Amino acid sequence: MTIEADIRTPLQTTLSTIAANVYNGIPEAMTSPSIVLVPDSPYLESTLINGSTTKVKINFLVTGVVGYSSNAAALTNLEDLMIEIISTMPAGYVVGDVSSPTPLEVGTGKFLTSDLQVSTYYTD
Amino acid sequence: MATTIITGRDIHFTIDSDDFDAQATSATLTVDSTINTYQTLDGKAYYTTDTQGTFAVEMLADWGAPSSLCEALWTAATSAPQTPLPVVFVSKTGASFAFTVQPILPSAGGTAPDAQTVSLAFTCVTTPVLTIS
Repeated sequence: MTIEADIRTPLQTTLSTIAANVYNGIPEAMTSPSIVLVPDSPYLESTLINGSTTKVKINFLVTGVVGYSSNAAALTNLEDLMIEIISTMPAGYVVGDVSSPTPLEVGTGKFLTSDLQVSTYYTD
Repeated sequence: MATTIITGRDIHFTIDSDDFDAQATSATLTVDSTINTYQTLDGKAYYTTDTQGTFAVEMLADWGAPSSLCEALWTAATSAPQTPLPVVFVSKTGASFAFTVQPILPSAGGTAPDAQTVSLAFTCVTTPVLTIS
């Protein structure tokens, strides 16, 4: 049992129904549109009793990434992507807020991104 | 003597033989004493007339889950409301409290963005018995 196998990859699989590249971790190269699972801070929280079995609350940012060639189109695309992510989130996740859009430049690529806060629980 | 620290992660407890580890985020056993004070010619004298225990539990709700703890508590409180439930509360391995509590009904619901939680404040029927091992 690992967080990668039991939490991140299943969430990636669920979100893969959205028309975007979905990564269960931070990718080496950015593409758009894409969805990236990023560890939030704090990432792992010990909130449950009985530490003899390790149980943690896991906080993720689900980052939506769209191309940023024009302001209006990029914002609309990002809104659509974030709404799709929220509606696709599986049961067992606390779904929080979406951050304000932020421009991102990676190499020659220009992107617009937003983060959705989500959390769930994992037992080792 | 070295400093000892125990935390909430050292706690383990069962209610009616159901293990709450997977859902409980907090558990506190409190026993209040009723103490009468007498003013005597030699000064104040104290006499304990009663004790009353309270067992407070904070947990993540699990309505609808297989072997739901919330549903077990609800069923116990509605089907046998006068039958005390046995509790074993371990604050740290080696220090165990055994007592019974009156069944109560857990709350249901919560706010949209957050995990549903349940706060329970059980009244102890029997005075907790500490077993040290």
